[in-house]
Amino acid sequence: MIHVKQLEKKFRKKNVLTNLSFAVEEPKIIALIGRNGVGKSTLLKLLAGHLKPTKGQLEVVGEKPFNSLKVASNTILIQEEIAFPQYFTLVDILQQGKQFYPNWQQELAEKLLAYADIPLKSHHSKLSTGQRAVFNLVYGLATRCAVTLLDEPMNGMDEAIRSDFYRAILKEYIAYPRCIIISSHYLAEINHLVEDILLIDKGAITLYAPIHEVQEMAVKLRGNKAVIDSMEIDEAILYRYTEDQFCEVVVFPERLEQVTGVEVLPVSASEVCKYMTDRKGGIDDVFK
Amino acid sequence: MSSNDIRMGDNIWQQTKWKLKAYNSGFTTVVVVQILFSLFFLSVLDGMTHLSTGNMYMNLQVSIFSIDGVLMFSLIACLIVSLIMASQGAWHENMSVVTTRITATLSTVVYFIILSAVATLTAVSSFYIAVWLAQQFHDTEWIASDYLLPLRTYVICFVLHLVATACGFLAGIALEKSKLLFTGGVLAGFFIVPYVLFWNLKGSEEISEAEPMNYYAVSSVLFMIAIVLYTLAIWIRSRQEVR
Amino acid sequence: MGDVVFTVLFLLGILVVIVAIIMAVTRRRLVTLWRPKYTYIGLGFYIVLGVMAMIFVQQQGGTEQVSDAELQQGLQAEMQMRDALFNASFSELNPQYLKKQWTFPVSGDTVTVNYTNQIVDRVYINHDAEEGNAITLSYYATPTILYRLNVSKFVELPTVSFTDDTLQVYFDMNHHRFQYNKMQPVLGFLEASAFYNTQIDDSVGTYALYLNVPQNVHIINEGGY
Repeated sequence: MIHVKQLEKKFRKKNVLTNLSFAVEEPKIIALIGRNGVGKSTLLKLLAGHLKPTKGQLEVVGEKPFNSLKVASNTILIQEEIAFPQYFTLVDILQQGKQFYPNWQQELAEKLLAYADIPLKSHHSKLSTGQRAVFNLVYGLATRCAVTLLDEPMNGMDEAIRSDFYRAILKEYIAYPRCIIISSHYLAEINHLVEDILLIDKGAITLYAPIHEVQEMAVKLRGNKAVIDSMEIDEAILYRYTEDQFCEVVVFPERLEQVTGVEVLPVSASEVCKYMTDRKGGIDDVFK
Repeated sequence: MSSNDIRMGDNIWQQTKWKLKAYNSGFTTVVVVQILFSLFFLSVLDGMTHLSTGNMYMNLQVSIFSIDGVLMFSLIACLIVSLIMASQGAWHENMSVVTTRITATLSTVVYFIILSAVATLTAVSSFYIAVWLAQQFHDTEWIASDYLLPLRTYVICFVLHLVATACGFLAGIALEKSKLLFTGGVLAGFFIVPYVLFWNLKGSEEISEAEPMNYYAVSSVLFMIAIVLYTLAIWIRSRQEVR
Repeated sequence: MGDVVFTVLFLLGILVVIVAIIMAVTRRRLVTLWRPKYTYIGLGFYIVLGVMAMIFVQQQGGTEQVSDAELQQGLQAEMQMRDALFNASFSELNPQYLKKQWTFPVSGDTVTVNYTNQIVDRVYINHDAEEGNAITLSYYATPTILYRLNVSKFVELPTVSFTDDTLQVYFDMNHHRFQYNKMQPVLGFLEASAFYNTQIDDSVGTYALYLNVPQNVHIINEGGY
């Protein structure tokens, strides 16, 4: 479905993506994780055919996305900046979806919008930020495109509606399996939803693995600083926090030989992603 | 999970219908401009052109009502509409439907063709309505003439509107790409347009003494110009990314 | 012209009021009230209105412009009269173009002629009248055609008076202004000569005063400029 090989993208002289390679062969839900500005949206736009790659190979549903009608009809990119004509009511926009997307689910869209209390006669530009996010997500789900790309779809939604729509994504995926790539900063919230994690840092892929593997990728050791230092695991440390004699480290467990005298805690997938993309120093250093 | 395959022609037509719905304000804008200026010529200027003749004993003033004035402002309105259609805002809205660069641009061109045809008909309507109002409200006598516009006038008006929309579209694209390119294009236009418009004048430097132009030859030249401009616009647009 | 301005402003004002009422009642902005299909319905209606206007305009008619034959006739009449006057062949003056004749009895044998403007450049004098005490003034005017419109009916006669053996001929010099409207089906910027209709002589018509006096009457011509 998606094949990316040594993909590079430059804007003027700035390298946004460098040497990206991954493949998605079957329908699944993938979380696209990364810090701000690492190139997540750029990657999604490349997959959707909005941008051209500078170098490398990129194929979606068997074709290069840029200027491909086949890719355009099988891919939908939902992002915050998605714009609809100002004269259109939501009814018109749903009508537009029905006109262009062969698998369009009108009933599903209307039911979801009714559930979210969004009147169909409103105009898109008149909706609140949260309502707009809900509508955009509903539009994306209702298209039932083979490749559905969601760029931070939950931005602006309140917690209650967010959890409802995570569930809606899952139910829709079960009803109609497809490749869904969700770019999100809230991995902890979508843990239960996603199958794979694609972690990008500084324009390159740092990690691409099933979520259960990521969840088992690291452990946290908490205890006396001297005890932890005595383990000689400096090369395996992803993250370290020290305050007086107290020390907390996150390490790859396969590098540990024997663990005694310290507390061993699990590390969530989102924490693994955070620590793998950590910058030198922490926020505390700013205030020193 | 099946894969959708859409034919290019179908997609272009779908997008055209969508644009006719989404950007119907383009049509409204052109018609409003036509109405305003035809009424302006009627009520304030009392005709589009005036000429005066006479002898020592009497002076005859003739107010000429022709479609030139309405046509000129209609062309400007179409140019502005097409300039706006080339903007990033319009592009982003286009991305909400199944589209590619080429099909989006081609559907926009079809939209402009329809706009040109409708603008021609509404310009003629505005003109006749203004003439009829003048006949009802002016005490002035009218000189009997052929009140029917010949077919060649409709053809010229249509082709002129096509060229205007092509210029506006290309100018909008050039402006997005480079301000220098846009400025160069505008300057080139100032030199090229008069040459093109009057290339068919024969045998005289004085326009008033020149033979009548061959309308269909002029239409053909203008049509070719429109095609060249649209092709250029399609070529540039098909390579542009949406950022 | 004032009527048209007033009517147009009045209609626009009504439109604004209607739109404001609709917006106030529905409490929505115009852009949210407007549906795309209204535009195309409106356009269709407007084009139909234009077609109806075209039909009504076509039925209006108007003042006919002279044909080529009439124009040529006018030019020939002008040339003929000028030749006759120049060659002093007054018998060849076409009576068809005689507009008025005045006859005045003369008491003495000198008549002073006074005319004060440039409608005619001179009074043609002939001493061919029958013996007696009467002079005859004739005013000739060939068809006046301006912009191919025959405006001969608007040509006024001079005011002529004769007192104390002085003939006063006065033309009203206030230029008569005529206003016409014309619909031109050609595009002015592409077909300027046809548009302005300047291919033909746009001013045809000549006027002459002919004074026939008996041989014994002496004329003092104080006219001219």
